Amino acid sequence: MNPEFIINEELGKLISNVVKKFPSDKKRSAVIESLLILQHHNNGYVTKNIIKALSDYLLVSEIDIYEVATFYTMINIDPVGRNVISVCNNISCMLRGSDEILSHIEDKLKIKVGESTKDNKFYLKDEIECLAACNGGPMMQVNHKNYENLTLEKVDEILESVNDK
Amino acid sequence: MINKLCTETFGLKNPDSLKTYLDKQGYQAWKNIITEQTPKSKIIEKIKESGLRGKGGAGFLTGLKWSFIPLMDGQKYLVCNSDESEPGTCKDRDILRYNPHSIIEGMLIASYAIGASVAYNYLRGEFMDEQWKVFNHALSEAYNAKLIGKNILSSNTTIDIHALIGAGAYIVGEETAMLESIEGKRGMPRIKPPFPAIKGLYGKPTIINNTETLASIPKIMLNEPGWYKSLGVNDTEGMKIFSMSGHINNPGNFEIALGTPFSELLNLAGGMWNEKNIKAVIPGGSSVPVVKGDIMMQVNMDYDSIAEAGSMLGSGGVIVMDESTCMVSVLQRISRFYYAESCGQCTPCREGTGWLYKILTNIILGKGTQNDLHQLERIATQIEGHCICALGDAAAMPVRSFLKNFWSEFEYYVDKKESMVS
Amino acid sequence: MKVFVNNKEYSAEPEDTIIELCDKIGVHIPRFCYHKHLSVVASCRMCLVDIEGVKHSQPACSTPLREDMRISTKSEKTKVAQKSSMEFLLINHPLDCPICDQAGECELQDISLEHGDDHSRYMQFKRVVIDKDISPLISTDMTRCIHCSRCVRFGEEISNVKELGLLNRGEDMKIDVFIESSVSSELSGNMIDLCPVGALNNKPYRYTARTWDLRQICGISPHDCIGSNINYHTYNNKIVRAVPSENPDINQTWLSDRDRFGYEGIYSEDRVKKSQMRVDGKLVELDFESTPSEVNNLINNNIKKYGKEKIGCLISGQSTSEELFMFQKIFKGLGVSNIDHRTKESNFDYQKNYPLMPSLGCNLEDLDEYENIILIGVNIKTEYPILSIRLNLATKNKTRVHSFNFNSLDENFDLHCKKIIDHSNIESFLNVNNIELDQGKTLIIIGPSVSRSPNQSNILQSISKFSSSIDAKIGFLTESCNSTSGWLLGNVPHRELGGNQSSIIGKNSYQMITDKLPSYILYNLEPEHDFFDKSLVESALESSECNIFFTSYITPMIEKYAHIIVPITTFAEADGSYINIEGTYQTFRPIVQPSKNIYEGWSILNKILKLNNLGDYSVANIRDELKKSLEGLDFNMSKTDMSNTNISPYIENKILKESYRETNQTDLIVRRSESLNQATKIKNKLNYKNMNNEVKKSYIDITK
Repeated sequence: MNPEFIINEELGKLISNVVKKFPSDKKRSAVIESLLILQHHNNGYVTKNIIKALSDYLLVSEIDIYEVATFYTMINIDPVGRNVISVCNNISCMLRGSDEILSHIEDKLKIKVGESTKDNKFYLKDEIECLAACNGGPMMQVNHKNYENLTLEKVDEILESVNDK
Repeated sequence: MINKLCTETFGLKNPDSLKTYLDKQGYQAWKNIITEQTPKSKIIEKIKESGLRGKGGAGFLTGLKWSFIPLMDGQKYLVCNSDESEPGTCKDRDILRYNPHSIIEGMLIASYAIGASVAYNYLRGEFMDEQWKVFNHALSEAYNAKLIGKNILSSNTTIDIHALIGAGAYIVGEETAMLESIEGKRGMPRIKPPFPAIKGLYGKPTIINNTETLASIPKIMLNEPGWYKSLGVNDTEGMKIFSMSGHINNPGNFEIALGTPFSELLNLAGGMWNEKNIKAVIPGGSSVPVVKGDIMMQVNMDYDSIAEAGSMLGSGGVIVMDESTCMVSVLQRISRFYYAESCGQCTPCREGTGWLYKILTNIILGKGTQNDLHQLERIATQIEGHCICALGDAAAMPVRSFLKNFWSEFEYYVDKKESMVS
Repeated sequence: MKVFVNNKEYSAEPEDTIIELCDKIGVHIPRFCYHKHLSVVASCRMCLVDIEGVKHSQPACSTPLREDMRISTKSEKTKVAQKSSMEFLLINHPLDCPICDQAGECELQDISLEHGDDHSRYMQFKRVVIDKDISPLISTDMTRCIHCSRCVRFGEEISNVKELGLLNRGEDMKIDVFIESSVSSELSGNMIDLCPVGALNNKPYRYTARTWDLRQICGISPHDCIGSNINYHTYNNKIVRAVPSENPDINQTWLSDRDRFGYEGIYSEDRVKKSQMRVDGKLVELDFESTPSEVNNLINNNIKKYGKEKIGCLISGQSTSEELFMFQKIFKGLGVSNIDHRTKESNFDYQKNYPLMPSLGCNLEDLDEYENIILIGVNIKTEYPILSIRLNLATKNKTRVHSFNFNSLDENFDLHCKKIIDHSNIESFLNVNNIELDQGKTLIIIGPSVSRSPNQSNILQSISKFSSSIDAKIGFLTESCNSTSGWLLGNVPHRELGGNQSSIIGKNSYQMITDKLPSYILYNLEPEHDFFDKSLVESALESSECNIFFTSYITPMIEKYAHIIVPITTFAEADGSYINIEGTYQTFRPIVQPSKNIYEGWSILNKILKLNNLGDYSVANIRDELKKSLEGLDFNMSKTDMSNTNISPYIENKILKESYRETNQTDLIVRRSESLNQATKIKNKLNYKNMNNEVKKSYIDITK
C-alpha cells in the first residue's frame, strides 16, 4: 500500500547535517532529529517505509528507530491532520482557564483531543506535557508556534488565520 | 540596584544578537580565560567558591559536580539541559530566546574547565519554532566571531557546540535520560552509579548542567570572588529566576536574590488576581510538595527556608493558587502528567502513577470513597524512594502533600461528590 | 572484603553486586529483570533489599558491595519494599494462571506466593495488550508481560539480532516487533526461557501438557558439533518440548531453535515402523526376530558373491559413537575397508595428513582469548547458531573476526572483514596483505563448506601453509554432530579405531559412489540429501545389486532401491554418546522408548557382530573401549600440518552451489521438524521481501 520511501537529496542533506553533530561512529544519535525532519516532510507522521529508509540511511535497526518513534510524543506513527494544535492544560494553564479553551476548540472543530478533523486540516494533539510558557497561560501551540494569554476570541482568530499548507 | 545574571539582555532591542550581548560585557570572561589560558582548576575553584547551585531542580553545587570529572585526557562532554518541562517553569525558554549568548559563553567556560571539546545543548522539541531557531542563529554568530570552534580566538583551544532537539518527553530532563536521548535511544534514565561524570555520553565523562546554571557562569567568572555569594539576602548565596504563574496579576520570570521574602516576589508579580486570598503555593515546579498560602507568606525564597516549610525550591516554578482553587482537580491534573510521562521502565512508577491517576479520576467523577484517600497515601509511599529516577518521587510527593495539607477538602469531595469550592 | 548478610559475616569479591554474592552464598533474593548473562537494568524493583544506613531499600542487582556493608534480605523494610513491588507488578497482570502454559514454572507465580498478598487492592481497569502472530515458534500473550525486558536485552546483547523492542512508554509500554515484522532469528526460542511469565511461550507446545505432569531427561544436541545440553520434557512417552540444560562450558543457558524444536522430526510420518525386505520386486514386512539374521545373511552373501572390496559401507556422522563403533567393528572385522562417514565430500587427497580427528583447537569458552579468528567456509549464524553467541561476545571483547566464505555470508555478530571468495583462488587470497590481523593470537576455523569443496585438499593445504606463516592455530567445525567420532572410531577408509593407519586403504565415499559397487550398506543416511551429489548416488543405488538400509525414515529413493530396510532408533530412543568439537565426550540415556518393532541402533549392530563371532558388547563395554582409544588425544590441534600433501588435479562440479545449508536443513531429523520448516518459510519470505532485485534474481528457494 505504502510506496517505498526514498530519502532524496534534499532530505539527505538535512539528515547529514544532523549526523555531523555527532562522532562518526554514533550515527544513531541522529535518529530523533531525523524523524522530525522526515515527519515534517510527510504531513506530520512517519510510516513503516520512512523508518525503513532511515534505518538504511543511518545503519540503525528498524526496531531501534521504532522504539524511539513510539517513545516521543511529537513523533506520530499514525496519520494526523495537517496543522497541529497543542493546548497546554497542565497546572499553570489550567489555573488560568485552559480547560475552557480546550473545550471551545473541541466544540469548534467538532473533534475530541487526540483526533483530527474530517477534512484533515487540524489535529488536536492530546498535550499532557507543560509547554513551558506558564507565564503566558492559557496558551497553545499551532504548528509549534506559541500563542499566549488566550481568550476564546483570540483562539477563533488564530484558527481562522491558519492557511492550509 | 537590581543585579541581573541571566536576564541582563531581556527587554533590550534585539536581545538575542551578539552585538547586544557584547555591549553588556558579553564574552569578556571567555576572552579572559582564552588569552590568559586560565588553569582549569582555578575556574572550578572559583565556581565552587561562589556557592553556585544547579538551577534545574536538584540544587547540587555546580563546582563540586565539575570537580568529579576525571583529570586524565580523553574525550569528555558537556551537556546543557534545555529540556525545560517541569510544570510551572518557563525560565530557560526566555534565556534561550532573549539571552542565548550567555548560555553559549557559559557552555564554553564549563567545557574548558572540564576539558570537553564538544558540548551539546539539548532543547525540548516544543521549542523548535522560536528558541531552537534563535539559539542556532546565536551559535552561528559565535562561530563566525571565532568564539567557538577550532582554534578559538587564535588559541589552541577547540570547543564545538551543537544544538540538539528533543521530540516530546518530560523524562528526558533527567540527566541520564537526556544522555540516552542524545545517543538516539528512548529517554529512559540509567541506573547510578556510575554517575555521568565518570561514565556519561557514549560512556565518556560528561557534565550536565541546567541552562540557567550555565548562563550564570560568565558573570560569576567576570566578577571578583565572593561577588555571587554576596548577591543573596542574609546568609543565602546568589540569585535565581522564579517563574511566577497561576492566580496572579502579572505572571512572568523574575530574577531575584535568593532569600527574598515570598511576599515581595508576589508583589513583583502584581499580587493576587481579583483581590482574592492566597490558598496554596507550589514553590518549585509541580513535583515539589504544596505549601499552604499563609505559611508561604512567611517564607523566604531560598533553599533552606522553603525546606523548613516542608517543600523544595526545585526549578523555581512558583505556582500560586487562590481560594477558589479545587485542590482535588489540581492534584488530579498533576497526577495525569506524571502518569503520562513515566518512561515505564521501573515497576513502581509505571504501575503506581497510573493507579494514583485512576483513583483521583474516580474521585473527580464522584465515585471515590474514603478508603481511596488512604489508598492514595499508601501507593505514594510505596512509590517513593523505590524507583530508578526521581520521577516516581515527583509523582508521589504532590499526592502526599496535597492530602496532608487539604485532607478535609478531599474528604468533602468524596462525601459530597463535588468540590468544596465550586 | 567483609560484608554481612542477615547478620552473618561473609567474605566477598569487591566487584560483585549484592545479588551475585547472595546467589553464591545461597541467600535467595526474588528477581525478574536480573539474569546473570544479561546487562543489569534494575527495573523490576523486586530485588530491593535493606542496607544499613541507607534510607530506602536498594536493588540488589545493581548495588555494588562495600566493605562492612550490612544487608538484610529478611527485615521488615525489605519485606515491605518487595511486597509493594509485587503488588505493582500484579495490578495489571491478568492472573489467568489456569489457562497459562507457564503456570507451575512461572517466576511471577512463585515469587508472588512467597512475597505477595492474597488479595488485590486494585479496583480499576486492567491493561490489555492485543497480540500479534510474531513467530511460528513463540506464542505471545502480552497482557501478561511484566516489562522485565529480558527478551529485548537478549536480542541486543546475546543474539545480536534485535527483533523485539520496547514500544510506547509508561503504562502503555509494550514489547513488540517492528511494524509487520516477525521474530525469526536462529536463537529466538531462548526468549521463551528468559520470559519469567507466560507472555512469551513455546508455540508448538502450547496447551499440550501441564508442567507438573512432565518428565525431564537430559540429552545432547544431535544437530551440530557443539553438543548443546538439552532437557527434554516428555508426557506419555512422547517428547513435548525441549529446554536448555545449563552447561557453562558449552551452551551456557542457551539453545538454538534447531536444538529446541528439532525433536519434532522424530515424529515424522515417514518413520519406518517395521523391517521390510524386497521379495519379487515388492517390499514386504519382515518380523522383528528374524531381521538380524536376514541382514547378516545378505551381508555375508554379498561379500562372498562380489568380494569384500566391492562392498560400500556408508554411515552418517550424526550416528552415535556407539553406532559408529559397532559399524566399523562389523565391517572391518569382515575385512571390508570401504568405510566412510564423509558422504558430503568429494575430494580426499588430504586424508593422509589430516589430524587424528577434527577439533576446534580450543575450548568454546576460550574463543574470546584470540585476537583474531579467521572463519573459512562457514556461516556461523545459520550453521552453528549457538556458537554465534560466543563469537558475538568475543567480538565485543577484543576479537577481530574475519570471514571468508564461498557462497553466502550473513552473520549476526560484528565482522572485521567479510568476503565471498572463489574456492579455486584461495591460495592466492590467503596472505597477510589481504587480511588485516591484530597483534596477538590467531585461530583459523575451517568450516564445512571447505570439506564440501571439490578442491578441499588444495584449500586445506593452502590454509595450512598460511597458518604456519602467521603462526596461527587451525580448528575445524564439522558437518555433523559426531564427525569427530567418525574419524576417531575408524569410520574412514584409511584409519582404524583410535586413528591408527590401516594396512589396506579402502575406497572413500566418492569412490564408492562413482565406482558403482554391486552392494551398499547405508546407515542413517538419506540418499536424497546427505550426499555430495544426489544424481550420482541415485545411479549408484540403481545399478547396485543389493542395497541395505539401516534407517529411521523411509524416503522415495530408499523405497525404490532398498533390498532390505532395518528400522533403527533416532538419538532420542536409545543410549548414545557424542564427542563434540572441543573433544568433550557426552553420553545420554533414551529419552523415550522406541516403538516395538524398531531396533536400537547399536544393539542390532551388536546382534550382527555376534552372529559373525566378532564379539558381544553392552553399552558399557562399548564405552569402556571407546574411552580407552580416546585417551591422551591432542584435541588442542597443536601439531596440525597439512601442507605436505600430494594433490591430484580436481574436477570442478556443482557441489558448491548446493552446499549452502539452511539452518533447518542440516540433518534428516531437523528436515522433518514441522515447526522449524514453518519458521524457515516465514524467514525466507521476509528475507526475500527485503532483498534488492539483483539478489532476488539469483535467489533459489531452498525450502522447496
